[in-house]
Amino acid sequence: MGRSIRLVVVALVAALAVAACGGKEEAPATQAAPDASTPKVVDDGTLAAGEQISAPKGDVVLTVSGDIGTANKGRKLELDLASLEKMRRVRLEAAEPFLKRRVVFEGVLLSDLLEVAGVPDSASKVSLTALDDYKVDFTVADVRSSQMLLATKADGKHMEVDHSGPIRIVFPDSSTLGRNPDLWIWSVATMKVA
Amino acid sequence: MADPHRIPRRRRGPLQVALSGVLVALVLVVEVLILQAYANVNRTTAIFGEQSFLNSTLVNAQREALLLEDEIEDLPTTSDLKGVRIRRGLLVNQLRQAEGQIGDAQVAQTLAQARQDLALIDRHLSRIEADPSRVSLRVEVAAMKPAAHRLLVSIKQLFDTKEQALFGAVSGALNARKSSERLLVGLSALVLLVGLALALSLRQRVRKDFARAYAALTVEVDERKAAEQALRASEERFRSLVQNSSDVISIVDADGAVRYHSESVRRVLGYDPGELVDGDPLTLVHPDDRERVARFVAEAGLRPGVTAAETWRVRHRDGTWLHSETVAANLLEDPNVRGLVLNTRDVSDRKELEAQLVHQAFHDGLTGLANRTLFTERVEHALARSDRAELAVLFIDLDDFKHVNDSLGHAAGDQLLVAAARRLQGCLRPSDTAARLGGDEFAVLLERVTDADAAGGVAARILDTLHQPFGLNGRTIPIKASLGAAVGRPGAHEADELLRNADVAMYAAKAGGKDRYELFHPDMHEDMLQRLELEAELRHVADRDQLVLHYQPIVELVSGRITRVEALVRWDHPSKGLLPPSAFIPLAEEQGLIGPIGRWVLLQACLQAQRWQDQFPDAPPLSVHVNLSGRQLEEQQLVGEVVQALETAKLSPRLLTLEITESVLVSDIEAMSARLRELKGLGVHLAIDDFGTGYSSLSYLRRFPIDMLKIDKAFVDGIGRGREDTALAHAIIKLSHTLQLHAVAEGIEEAEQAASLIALGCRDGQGYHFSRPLTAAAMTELLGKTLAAGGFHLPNAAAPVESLSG
Repeated sequence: MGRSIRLVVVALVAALAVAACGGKEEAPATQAAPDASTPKVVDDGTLAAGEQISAPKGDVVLTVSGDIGTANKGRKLELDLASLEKMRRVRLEAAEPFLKRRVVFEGVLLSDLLEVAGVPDSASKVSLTALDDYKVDFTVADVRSSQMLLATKADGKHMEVDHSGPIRIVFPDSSTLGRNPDLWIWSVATMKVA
Repeated sequence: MADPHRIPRRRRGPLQVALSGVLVALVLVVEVLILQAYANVNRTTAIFGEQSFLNSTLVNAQREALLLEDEIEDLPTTSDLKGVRIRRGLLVNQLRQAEGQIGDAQVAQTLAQARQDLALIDRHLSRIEADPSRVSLRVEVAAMKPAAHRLLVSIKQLFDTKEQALFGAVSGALNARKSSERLLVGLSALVLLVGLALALSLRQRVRKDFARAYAALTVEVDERKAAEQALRASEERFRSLVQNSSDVISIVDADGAVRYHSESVRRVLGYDPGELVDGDPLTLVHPDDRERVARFVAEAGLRPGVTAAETWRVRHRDGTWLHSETVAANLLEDPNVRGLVLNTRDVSDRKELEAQLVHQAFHDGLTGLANRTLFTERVEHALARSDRAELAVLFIDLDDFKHVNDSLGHAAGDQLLVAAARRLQGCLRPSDTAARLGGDEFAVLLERVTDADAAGGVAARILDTLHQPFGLNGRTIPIKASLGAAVGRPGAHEADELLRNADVAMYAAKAGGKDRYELFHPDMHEDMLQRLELEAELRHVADRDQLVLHYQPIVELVSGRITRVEALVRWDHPSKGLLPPSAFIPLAEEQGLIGPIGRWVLLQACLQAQRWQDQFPDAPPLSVHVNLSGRQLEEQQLVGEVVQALETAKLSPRLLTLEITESVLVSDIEAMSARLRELKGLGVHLAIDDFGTGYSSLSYLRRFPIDMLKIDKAFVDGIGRGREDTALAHAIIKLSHTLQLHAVAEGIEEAEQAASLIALGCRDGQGYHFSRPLTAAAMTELLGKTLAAGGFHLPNAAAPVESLSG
């Protein structure tokens, strides 16, 4: 008589186990090699913090304003791709949420940019605006801890506007912020520090 | 074998099987549905996410398209070609994003259209770059505008479609979800119900099973309890059997030491069980039996199983010896015992009974003397002895014991026998053996007698002792016996021979007149043989005309006239000559041969009397006297025989007188009285023969219809020898007168006697003085002679002499 009860219990447990397994269906398909997915310095660059940045010669890709210590046009700091690429360059491989594939990005750490722009320790917020007026805010702390990258190249090539260029924010796989695709702002045009 | 207490493991009932199956199926269905719903939710979420992303992308694309259109329209004024290109890039990026999100046909078609429009715009923008003139600008812008607008419209259409699809998908997913939830709820409720039903049914089942198991358990517990009780009861019973058994149960080690005695040893032997344990059991056994007991125990220890019962003597604490019977069971191999179990019982009573039975088998129940078997054995034993000492066997037969038995009853007869036995024993040495051989016959074995005379001495002493008066029923009677003695010697005689010799001697004593003893001598054997021969011949004496009647006249004393004749039977034996009645009548009576003899005598006497009547018709009638024996009187047919004899002879009954002896009358007074009255009724006369010698009392003379007394010769002999004897004869005669009986004196041998009898008033007499018994012919002759004198007058009849009486 105990067998029938046992049978029911076993069936229930099995069913629950199957259900539990079902819950893990969406686990990450592939784990990137740690060396590729962690930001790696490609070139230490020539532009260091505290240095004067000359006015851009090419198209300005990023205008930094707000609470910054370094400016080259009034109170603003205008940067073209060449200026940006003089800074310490970093490469990382990340899962691009919109293309849904891994892309090797190259660019500067946004935190490095804050140093170069002479953002003081008192600054707390970084607001980024894209060419299409899309806007994302980060805390300075997040910027410094998350190793988010202001990418200038994807898969070794500079990016056109129709390919989310010329510069965009990307996150390493390890970053929790990066799990929100809304924060992957592309065609970044301005940065305001407050 | 199936254990009946085992709870049967039954399969589940069909209801439970069905319920379980349904429940499992339902649970699985529910699980599948839940998983499906989960997957649906995920998919819905994914789809929703994709759609909303697509939508937002499309919204962005619309915006970019709108801004592109605006910027293109404004281009003539702003000339911001770069701004248009950026806007175009942003739009393319958005469309690319949208394309990446959902690659469906509509999107692809819209995007393909958009790409054509964008290519058109690019071409015009390139022309403007090549020719940045106003005119060109206007022309190109005008040419671009429809494309820009078409772009906007198609994106908007796509958005509208996609937005509608999104809401449709969302509401469809929600609806699907709702219905699947309803199904789930329903199924869950069903699962609960089925589960509940199953639980209830199982509970009922479990209860039933439990009840059954409990019942089975109860039964088993009860049975076990009962079994335990039975075991305990059996143990107690066994214990009580052992404890209360009249038997002593002992356990003895292989080496013979006692390990245990049951409680009953106290009752049987008077010892505490503890007193005897560890002791040597042989100390209690009779010394003569010890060796046998030791052997018994040793043999019991060698063989498994139970021995046969052995008996031996065991001493009770009080010193008496008991007969015990013991059975041994060898339980040396039994781990519970490891010893011999002896079961001993007191069989003293049985032994005593056996002894009693043995005693009874060899002893006479009445007197306690040895019986014939034991006596014979003793004689054989004595004759087998090696010392060759002589021994004597005495046979003793009480005289006339039958009369005592008949007249005083069997109880008195038994008393007499017991007294005789006691007296007999009193005459003997302890080594001698007295025995009762049966009836009134006794025997004595005298061991180690010096000679025949010594045996004779003992015989005489025995007769003397028996003679001493014996009080019986207020009367004093002497015990008289005839005794025969025979002396034998081991090697010379056999037991049978010796006993026969003593018997022969005893018969000789009886034949010699009773109340005496005879020592055996070989001649007696001859006599005995003759007697036996006689006996054989006697059987046919009546048929073979060997009997003859002699007649003795009875004379009227005063006149000498023959008034009567007594018929006396003689056996004319072919070799021995004439034999008197005393030589064969007792023998005939003894052998039951008296009947034919008596009939013959009666008939012949009557015929002869009638013959004389015919021969001497003028003479006064002559009565004939016939003697009847006791045996004859006992015979029923006697009266008929008398009648027949009288009728055959045509003799008048009054001329027949039947003589009977006194002793016959005392045997059975009532029967005899009736018989005599019958005879008297025939008209015959009755006379008492040998009057005065028996045990008669005077009273019966009045009770019996007697006519005549015949005074015994003993009294007649005394007449004239002394005053007392004469007075006795006188008294008898006077008695007959008083009773008005006819008196006849017997055995008159002398004239003086006859004269005296006349003087005493005796009327008739007979004897040698007048005539010996004569043959019929001689008697006829005598009668003829005497008739001449005017009757049967005897010539030598005494003339009346002087009266003595005065």
